[in-house]
Amino acid sequence: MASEFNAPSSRRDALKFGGLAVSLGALAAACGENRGGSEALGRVGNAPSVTTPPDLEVNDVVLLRTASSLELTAVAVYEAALALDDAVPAGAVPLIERMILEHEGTAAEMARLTEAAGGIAWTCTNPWFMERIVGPILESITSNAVGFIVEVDGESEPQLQVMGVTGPIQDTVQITEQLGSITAVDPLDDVEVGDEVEFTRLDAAVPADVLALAIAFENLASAAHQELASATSIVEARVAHAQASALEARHAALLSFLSTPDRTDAYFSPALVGGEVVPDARSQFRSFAINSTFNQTAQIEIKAGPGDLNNVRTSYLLQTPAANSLVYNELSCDA
Amino acid sequence: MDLENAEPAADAIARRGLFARVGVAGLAGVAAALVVDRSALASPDDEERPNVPTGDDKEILSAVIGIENAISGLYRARLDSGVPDELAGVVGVMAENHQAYAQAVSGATGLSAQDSDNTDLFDAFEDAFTGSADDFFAAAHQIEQTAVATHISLISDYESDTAIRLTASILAVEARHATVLADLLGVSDFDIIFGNEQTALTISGDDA
Repeated sequence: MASEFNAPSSRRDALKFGGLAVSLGALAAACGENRGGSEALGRVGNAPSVTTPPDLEVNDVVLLRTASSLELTAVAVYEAALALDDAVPAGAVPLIERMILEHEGTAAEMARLTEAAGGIAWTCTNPWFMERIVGPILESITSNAVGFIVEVDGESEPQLQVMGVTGPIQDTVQITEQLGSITAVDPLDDVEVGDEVEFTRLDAAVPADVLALAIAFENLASAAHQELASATSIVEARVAHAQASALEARHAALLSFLSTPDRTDAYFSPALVGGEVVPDARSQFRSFAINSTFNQTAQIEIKAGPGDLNNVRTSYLLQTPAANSLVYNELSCDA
Repeated sequence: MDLENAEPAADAIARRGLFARVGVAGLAGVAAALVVDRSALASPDDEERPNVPTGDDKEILSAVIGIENAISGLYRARLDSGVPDELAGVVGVMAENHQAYAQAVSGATGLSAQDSDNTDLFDAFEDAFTGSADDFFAAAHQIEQTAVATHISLISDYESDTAIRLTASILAVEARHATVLADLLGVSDFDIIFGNEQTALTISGDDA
């Protein structure tokens, strides 16, 4: 008998008893009645009462308005990039202008379909994307590098730490031989330990970030239309989303060619043939025209802005529209 | 057998077993919680649209398998006829992708991917695919554009979620293929790069 008490529980036993516990729990829950009381979660303290979010309807019109908003957000991204000094190489301006026209055209088509479905066309950017994604990324892109004056063990004089480099205080700091140097924006004559010092971005860093954002946004738009094609119940809208998905995949592919000195390096991802994909010298994720066998709808990660004191750059995640970024019928461009 | 010594051990195991069982029950609860539908993009007519391909979908998708197999075969014919090392990778990726599309459709429908091939399409393009580099790029660009146009045309006919989702995920990458091929052709005209003047293949009753 003692050996039975000593018998260890096997995984099978654990699953068996666990399943039994869940089943009995479900049975008890199903059989229970007249228990009364509030069904709200228990609360402790004087926290304000919970506000139930509105349960807004997601219908075909909402999906089409969301599509319009994404297209117009893409237009806003490109217009912002064109407005920045030297953010878009002169040779790429005609391409950007062409893509603006195409996004406006797609937005107009989505607006037409919205009205045909009995809705009110959405004629401005996506508020959630602008506030949470585009705004912060553009702010990072246009930010200067920041260094600090620090004390370093073994050094008699204060040192300058910026973008992973620590050394004597000087106006120009070479980050790496490949990446080049940055220059102090303000004079460094009277700086003390703890002072913050602003530096320019690396050469061509801003255009590279703008390009990464543009590629990411085109891939995002393609993925969003891909999802919307299957989400809508309107056949005409399904076709329009499929066409837009293909068009924006073409945009992303062509932009990818600009991300490497040799455009043929950006034709396809080495991962498709068992290779490794490593970030570029600026730690940016690589972009490829053909980046997967099937068009991906997963989140897209990009880096933007200068590196911090340890030369770590901020990551941003772009995701296709979901509950928090849909343009519901209750929203208005005027609001 | 020493029962006195055995009892504490049994208690310990019982407690361990209890933790394990509660843990499994807890995991089961977590799993149940994760099953909750979190999709805000669910189709408004989800209740009406079938998930798996219908009989009509299968008829169309059977022809799609043949088209994708034929295109994959054309790229393989090009590889067999010789391509420069710097192009072998991208041509191989396109061949593999089209084969993957045929296999994915096969997997979704239960139709064989092996027995279906569009020989008319293969025959029509074989000479160009195995000809000069420019002939190959032009023919490959044309056939990718045709595939995109065909999928966009067919996506309005499908009744099932699976057929629509799969088609949408395929046609966007075929558009990327076309963009690469346009670049290899040296095209700089945005109307060609971003447009598509090819017409969809006709899926006849015989093909389907």
